[in-house]
Amino acid sequence: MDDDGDFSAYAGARWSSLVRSGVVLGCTLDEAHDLAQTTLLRCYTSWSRVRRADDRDAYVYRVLLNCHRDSRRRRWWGERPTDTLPDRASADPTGDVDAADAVRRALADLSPAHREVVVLRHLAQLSEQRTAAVLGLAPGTVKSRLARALAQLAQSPHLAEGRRP
Amino acid sequence: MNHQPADLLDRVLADLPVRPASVDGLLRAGRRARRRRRTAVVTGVAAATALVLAGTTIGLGGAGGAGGPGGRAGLEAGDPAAPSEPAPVDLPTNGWEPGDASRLALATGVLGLDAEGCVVLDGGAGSRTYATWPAGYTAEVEPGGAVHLRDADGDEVARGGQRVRVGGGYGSATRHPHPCLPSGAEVFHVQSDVVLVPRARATDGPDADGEGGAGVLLDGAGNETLPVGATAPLTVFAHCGLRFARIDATLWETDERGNGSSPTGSDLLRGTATRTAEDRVVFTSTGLDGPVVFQPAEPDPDHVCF
Repeated sequence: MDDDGDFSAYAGARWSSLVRSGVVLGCTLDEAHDLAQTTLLRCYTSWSRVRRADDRDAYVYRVLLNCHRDSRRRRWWGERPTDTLPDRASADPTGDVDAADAVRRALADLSPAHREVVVLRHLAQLSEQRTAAVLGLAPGTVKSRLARALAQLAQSPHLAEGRRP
Repeated sequence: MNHQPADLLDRVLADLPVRPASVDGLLRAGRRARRRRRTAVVTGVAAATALVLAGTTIGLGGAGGAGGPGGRAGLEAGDPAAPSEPAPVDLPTNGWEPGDASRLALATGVLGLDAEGCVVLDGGAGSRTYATWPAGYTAEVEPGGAVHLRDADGDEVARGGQRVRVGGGYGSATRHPHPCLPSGAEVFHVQSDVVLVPRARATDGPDADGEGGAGVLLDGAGNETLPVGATAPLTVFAHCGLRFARIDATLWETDERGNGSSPTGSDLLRGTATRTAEDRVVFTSTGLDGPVVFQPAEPDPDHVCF
């Protein structure tokens, strides 16, 4: 399979997970879509390197975290040009906002560092060792941060309430 | 690992309405990004080569002084050492290409060079706007000092002394550090074609000329000339609602539509205008409910959206 075909297959398979990761990191749903797009775009320009990586997901999610950190530092550049203009009629987004807002409220007490661990361990499903390598931490730190994050989530009244019936 | 909160998190995340991936769009954008990166590498190699050559010249006792960031210092008119060919100016670009989404702010100014040889938009009264330009844009300066701005196809879009209007948005130059962008200051990121603004006639008010508005985008023949009995294409700027129009080179007005926004969602309404009387023009355009009747208007100094 050539680079474009390989990239297309990967992007299609991971798109939802990348968007959800953006929401876990604290983005709105629209920002999360932008973040996933920016991440994949940045990976595409170096796709041969991504293909050679030991763990492709670890590489791509590291890019996702870097893009997210960049976007927080450079708020003015939050809007990026896209091929699809948003100016079009759409259905009532209230339900969509509710769903995204439930996640945001549930994760409100998590620090950025805890969110990153949740993304890598839970959504990217990286091992503790791989997560530690991506974040530059000791595996034990990853383990303790994930435990604390899940403990906080267990205390969150919004996590169960936010679910749609 | 406690699975209960993780499972709940899974379920909440599963409710998120993720839009489908636009893989084709990503591929197109990715190919453009690759082209830009290759261009940047080639430009960087060329610049490094030029620096080496310049250093060699200085080392050999040559007379070539170091240029400013714009690369034109020393190119004064009549200087026998100045080359007879135009010299490239180091122009900051932002990667925007026609077809990309863009922000909707407008900026105007007279194209020129600052003391460092950098391209600026001179707004008059000492105001000056530095800008990043669309992908592939270049600039060059003639031995006489006149700057020429060219688009990605190499076609000249403006030259020094001409007033231009561009769309895009203001922002920091942090993401694109460049010797021609003031560090930490606000710059304008051009995300549109460059359009020339005709000089205002002495009898025209700022409203009629479009100064500070979108007059230059009003490219219908009826915007400039529409005698009684004639029918011609007309373009109306409706960013702030459909109210005013430039017709026959003067300001006209109709009952406001759109409640402060374009009634069709499009900033520029293109249609056909018929002047049925000295003081009456009937305008029709796709997307409008019906014909719109304009009448001559007095300039409204509080309305900035013409």
